[in-house]
Amino acid sequence: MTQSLTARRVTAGAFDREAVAALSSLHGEPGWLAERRLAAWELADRLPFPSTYERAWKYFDPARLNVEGLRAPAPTAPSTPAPIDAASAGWMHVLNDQAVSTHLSPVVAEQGVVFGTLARAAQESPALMQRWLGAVITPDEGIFPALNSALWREGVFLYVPKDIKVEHPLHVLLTAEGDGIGLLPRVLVVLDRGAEASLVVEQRGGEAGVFVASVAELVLADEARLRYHTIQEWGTGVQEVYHQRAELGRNARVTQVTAALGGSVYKGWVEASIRGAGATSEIFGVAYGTGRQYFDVITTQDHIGDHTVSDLLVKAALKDRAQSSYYGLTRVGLGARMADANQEDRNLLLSDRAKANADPVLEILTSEVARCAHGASAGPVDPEQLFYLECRGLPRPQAEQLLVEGFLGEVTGRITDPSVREIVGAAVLRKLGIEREAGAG
Amino acid sequence: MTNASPTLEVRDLHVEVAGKPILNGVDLIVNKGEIHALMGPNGSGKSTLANTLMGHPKYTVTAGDIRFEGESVLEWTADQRARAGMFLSFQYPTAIPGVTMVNFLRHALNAREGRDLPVREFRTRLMDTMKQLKMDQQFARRYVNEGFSGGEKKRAEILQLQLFKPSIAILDETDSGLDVDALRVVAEGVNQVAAQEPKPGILLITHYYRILNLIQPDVAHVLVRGRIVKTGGRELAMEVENHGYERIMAELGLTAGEGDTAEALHAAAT
Ligand SMILES: Nc1ncnc2c1ncn2[C@@H]1O[C@H](COP(=O)(O)OP(=O)(O)OP(=O)(O)O)[C@@H](O)[C@H]1O
Ligand SMILES: [Mg+2]
Repeated sequence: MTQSLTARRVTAGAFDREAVAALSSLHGEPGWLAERRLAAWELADRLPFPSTYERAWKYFDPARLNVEGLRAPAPTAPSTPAPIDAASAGWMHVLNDQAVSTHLSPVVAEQGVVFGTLARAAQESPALMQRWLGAVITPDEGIFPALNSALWREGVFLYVPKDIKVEHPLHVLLTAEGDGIGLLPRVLVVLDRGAEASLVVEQRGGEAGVFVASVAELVLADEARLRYHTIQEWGTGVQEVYHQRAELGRNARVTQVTAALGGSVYKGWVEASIRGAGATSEIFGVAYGTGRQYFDVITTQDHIGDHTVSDLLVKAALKDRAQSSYYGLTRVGLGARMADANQEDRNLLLSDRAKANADPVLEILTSEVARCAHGASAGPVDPEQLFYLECRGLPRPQAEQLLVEGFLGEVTGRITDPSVREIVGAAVLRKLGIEREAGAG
Repeated sequence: MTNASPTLEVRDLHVEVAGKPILNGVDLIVNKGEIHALMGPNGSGKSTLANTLMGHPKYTVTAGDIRFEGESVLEWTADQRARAGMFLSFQYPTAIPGVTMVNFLRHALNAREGRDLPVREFRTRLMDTMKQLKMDQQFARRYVNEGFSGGEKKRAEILQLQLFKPSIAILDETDSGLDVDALRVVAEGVNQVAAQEPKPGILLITHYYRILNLIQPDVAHVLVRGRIVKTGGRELAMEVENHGYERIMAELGLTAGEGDTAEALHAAAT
């Protein structure tokens, strides 16, 4: 099986060239967008399918991805989503890549905040779309970003104008229904100068055979602040490859939080181009793997501007035969004086057959660095901690659960939006199988 | 529960750590309502005894038996012993980052009492007990033993002792590292537990006589090289305080030097 042969696998059937044109005409898209889609499709068709020879795919054979014979999801009817927290500025429910309901608090809308589908933004915010869509993550970065750029359907768009601070988090619920379908979720967030927002993307549902290739582009102008959270609770057997990157202006600050809980394969890139002087990037991740789940994250903290700061904490607890891989790159460019960078990857192995690969990497091109720290570890539960809990009456499985909760809680504790911290914490507890009475913790 | 059986009965207990014998035949009986003081030089095996009583997996019992309320617990896991009513206040309590005290205590208390305590009841009990121990309420939000000062750790152990109401409490140097006021608070806590019906047995491991002014022991033991070499009343603790262990050892024909085997000590002590 040659690479060029495998390359065609993702662009066949439901994702062929005709599908691109059909999508553009269905949405009545402007010419520039239709052209970009086609150009991206050409790339997806031409780019080699990845192989384990590439560093990014060292620990997972991409041949195991179910990309063959995928169907496009059938059209769905609008519906009412499960109610989301009242302390929300807005919510959107996207089922199988189609927005079934959208709501934005009128107060927030009046401030000029735009929250809706990318499809609609292409009509109503063409300048922003043309400037930023595909500018942070370009289709030539790989076969999956290319495929997504060619065939995303409705997508999610958030724009916050200059100096507007959206007080409460915005919620996006992405759900999948059915098997054997390919989903291409796409998010574009643009925060203008001094703007602030918090976005929560929850992913649920789906079953074996669902393949997801998602892209999230986060644009922060000078002084902007964004907290972007993904809670991945896909159904058993769902595979996802994701690309997420933030682009930071002067003194901007982004926090990217990922909770990896569901699905069978969840592999992605979480990156920050820390371009503006004084900008800060935070990347926090928790993963709890059971069965044969595989979680793989590649991070880049790219210090480009002066006095930039990055902090990263990724923790995975792995049970049964679950596996995690972490490849974290801190790059400090020649022009980035006095960078302060930290990355820490910790893995808790709860069974002999669980496995963690951890590779923190530093690439420092300047001699003027304020701090550049990195650490990685993988090991079993501390027997003294276990004994302490057992001595207080907790049977081993329960003691272990509490230790996992605590281990991951150190990361979720860093989420600053209280309601989001609660949602992520609850998702972790759901996976741990603990239902907590409200107000007990 | 058989009332006739001692709360804790240790018979000819031999214990090894990593293949090295540490306890060489310990005999000890603690009855309901009794307070026993256990003293002994550093490294004599006091903590080894305490950990073994609770079933620490590192300590291997090679001979002898541990009975709790008449039943051998050697085959019981640590959590079974704890739920049955055995409690150890650790000499060096383990820090558990990420797990808050309140979350931990709720799980632990539910396990000990075998029911899901209503949130209200739990909170009231926790807050009341913390108040008695003059602990800041913020304490409950902190991670278990993480960054606690020496004295705070010991107070947190006593907090657990009071919440769990065990039948046998093994307190391993709970008085060490406490300032005068904290010592008084901790002693009050122990005395309160000691006075509660049904009265527990207490094994108080200590190096200092001053705690024994605050918690009056009925019996005192001296452990040397893995064996209880002398048992007496409170005056034995006083003797240790005034003259150290050397005098007791000399009395028993033991020298403090290297080279005496456990067997020699055993022969001398019996
Ligand atoms: N886990 C262990 N691994 C190796 N050696 C151990 C271990 N636990 C205890 N020991 C050894 O067993 C002996 C007794 O130790 P133990 O902690 O029981 O003494 P102790 O009487 O409590 O002393 P202290 O008064 O200093 O607390 C010591 O020589 C100690 O080094
Ligand atoms: Mg000790």
